[in-house]
Amino acid sequence: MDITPSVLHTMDLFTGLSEEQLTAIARIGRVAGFHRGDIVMREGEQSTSVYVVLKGQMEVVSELAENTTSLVILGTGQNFGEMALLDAGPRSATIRCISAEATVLIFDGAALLHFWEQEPKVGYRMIFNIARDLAFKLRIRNLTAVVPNEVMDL
Amino acid sequence: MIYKVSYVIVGGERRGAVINQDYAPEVGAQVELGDQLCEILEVQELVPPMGDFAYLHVTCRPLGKVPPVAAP
Repeated sequence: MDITPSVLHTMDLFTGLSEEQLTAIARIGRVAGFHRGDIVMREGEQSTSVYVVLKGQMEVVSELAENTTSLVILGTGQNFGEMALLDAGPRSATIRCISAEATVLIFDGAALLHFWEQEPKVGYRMIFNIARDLAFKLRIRNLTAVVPNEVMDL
Repeated sequence: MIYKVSYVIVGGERRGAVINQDYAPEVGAQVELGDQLCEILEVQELVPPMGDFAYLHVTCRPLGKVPPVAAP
C-alpha cells in the first residue's frame, strides 16, 4: 500500500499538514500487514512506537487481573500507541487484529520525536492532533460511562 | 468531509468502535463492527467540525454476527 499524502490526509493525526510535510512524515514511517488474531502490541510492554490504522480493524483489549475485556475497536484512520510516546509508560492495553487483513503505518517513537525537533511546526500540529484525539476519546468515555451496557427498551 | 465516528454498541459483546469514514452514518443503516452487525439508532454531533473532519457519536444495537465469507 502506497503511503501518499492523499491517504494520510484522511487520518486525523495528520490534519493541518501540507502535502510537502505529509510526504516527509511518510518517509519515516513503515507499513506492516496483519491478519486476524495477530497481536500488534501487548499490554505491559515497553515501546514508544505509534501506529495508524490504514486499513482493517483492531481491537483494544485489557488483560488486567486475568480478565480479558474488549474496550473498543479501532478502524481506519485511528492511531494508537501515542500514550507511551507521551509518558514513556508501559503499554496500557493489548491490540489485536480482528479483520481478515489490516494494514498499519508504524512510526518509531524516537524517530518521530527527532523529526518533530527538526520540524517543530509539524511537531506542534501532530501533538495538537494527538491531544484532540485524546479529548475525543475522553468525551466518548464520559458519554458511555452513563449508558448501561444492556439492551435499551426501544 | 471525513467523519470520525464513535460507535457505541448497547448490549453487545463489544462496547464500540472508532472509525474514520467518508460518508455520514444514518439512523437505520447497518454497520459491521468487528464480527458484529449493528443497526444505527441515533447519530449526534460530538463536537463542532474542524477542517475536513466532522466528529460524530453513534448509538447502535447488535443484530447478530457477521456471516463468514464463503471460500471462493
